[in-house]
Amino acid sequence: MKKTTTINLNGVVIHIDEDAYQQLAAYLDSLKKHFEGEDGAEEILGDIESRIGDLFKTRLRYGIEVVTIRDVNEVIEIMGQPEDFDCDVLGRETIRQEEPTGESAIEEKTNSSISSGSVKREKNLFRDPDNAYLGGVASGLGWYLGIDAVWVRLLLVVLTLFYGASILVYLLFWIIVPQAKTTPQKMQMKGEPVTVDTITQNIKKEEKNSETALSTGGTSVAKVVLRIIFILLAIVVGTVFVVFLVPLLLFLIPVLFLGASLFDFFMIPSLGPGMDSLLHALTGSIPLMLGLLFVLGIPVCALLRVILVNLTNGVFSKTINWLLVIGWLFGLVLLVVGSLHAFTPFFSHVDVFQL
Amino acid sequence: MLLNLVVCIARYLKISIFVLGNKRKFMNTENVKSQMRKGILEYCTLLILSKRQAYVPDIIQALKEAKLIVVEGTLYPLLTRLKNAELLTYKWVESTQGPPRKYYELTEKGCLFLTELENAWEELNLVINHIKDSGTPE
Repeated sequence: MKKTTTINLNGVVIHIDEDAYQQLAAYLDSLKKHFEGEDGAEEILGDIESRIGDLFKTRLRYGIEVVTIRDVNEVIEIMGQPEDFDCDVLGRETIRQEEPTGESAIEEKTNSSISSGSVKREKNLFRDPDNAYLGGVASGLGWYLGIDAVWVRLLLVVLTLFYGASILVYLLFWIIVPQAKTTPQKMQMKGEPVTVDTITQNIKKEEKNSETALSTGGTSVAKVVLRIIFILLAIVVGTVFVVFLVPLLLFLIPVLFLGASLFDFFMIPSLGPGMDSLLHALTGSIPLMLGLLFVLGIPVCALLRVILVNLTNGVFSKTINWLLVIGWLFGLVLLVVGSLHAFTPFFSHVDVFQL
Repeated sequence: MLLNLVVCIARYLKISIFVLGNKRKFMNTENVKSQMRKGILEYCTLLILSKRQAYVPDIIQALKEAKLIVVEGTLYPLLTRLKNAELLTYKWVESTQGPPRKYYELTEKGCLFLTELENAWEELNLVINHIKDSGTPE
């Protein structure tokens, strides 16, 4: 037993199964979206509705009284998907320019029901695990920017010359940017339209890829060597960081508790009255020191974590990622506010003197 | 680091070749043919209506027989566009069953437009024949 509803297709009354109704409603909705903004969209939809009604009527002879989901599917096949309309007709004012680039071109070729314009594409930043040398950041960025990952990698390599700036950037991205794990995520990463068709297609492609990967003996030797090089590099950089930053941090902690009396504690000689008051103001400000601790300490923790997780092939917890990022930003705010607070009396003091 | 660079450059070259190869594949005969069909769809629709007034299913039937359209949905926006351009008009004709149907016919403006299109078509024919007949260049 099935529940039916009655619908009015531009003046034609039809009895239809519930599931068939859902299907038809979804189809008409997609048409409505397709013709949105076009001149006479309502008329077109009305014409199509009455045609669908007629097609149903011809199916409802011979004593059959209800339209089933099979009828709906057949009728949709006759009418065609909105994507197919564009393939058939050129005259639309808004002819969508198709600019096939690289792999998306094959996608469009192999599945004609997808035209680039009619499906809204969303590109999201993900880390690409399939083409990753380390964390997949470069490859993911490459997809996002629409350039080959090699340029991103080159840029990162060049940037290491500037005090290893790219290493920090890379780590930050590694921590924040999620990895593309599911097929839809991978497709979003590449900016491909996410529809049922494309997903199945991509899954098939992935299966094929993994088969070929198995037959060629898994990951290539070069990749493993590169991975090891990167890990060694990370360890070296990490050690340098730890060696320089950890003592600084250890120094900062007593500063926090002792504040201005630190100078007496360490018996630091006077550097002249101006310098002394500045140092006192700086070390006396708890927000400033706390901020400094956070801003310097969190990257050290993050770096250690990245190395550890990578070495143990563990998984990055998203919560901790965000906690680290939020903590760092919080530290930055503290640092800025604290230094403003600490410097203001000093500078106003100087101003007064100069005036 | 050097090894990394070499591998990256090799990969980049591989991808470039891949992309170039696929661009050629994309420009295939099916694509050109469908472009041609698209170009004459409006002309053919007007041509069908110039012979006789017709219901939409009749027009669809004629176009499908000529293999000009695959799915019916293509035609409705086209007809509405031609009607909005005042090349076509319709009247409601009552049918034996169901609600009244649209019965399309060519307007005067549509007739003029059709003659223009016919001229253009003749011209295109001439151009193609001319190129065909002019022999192969050395």
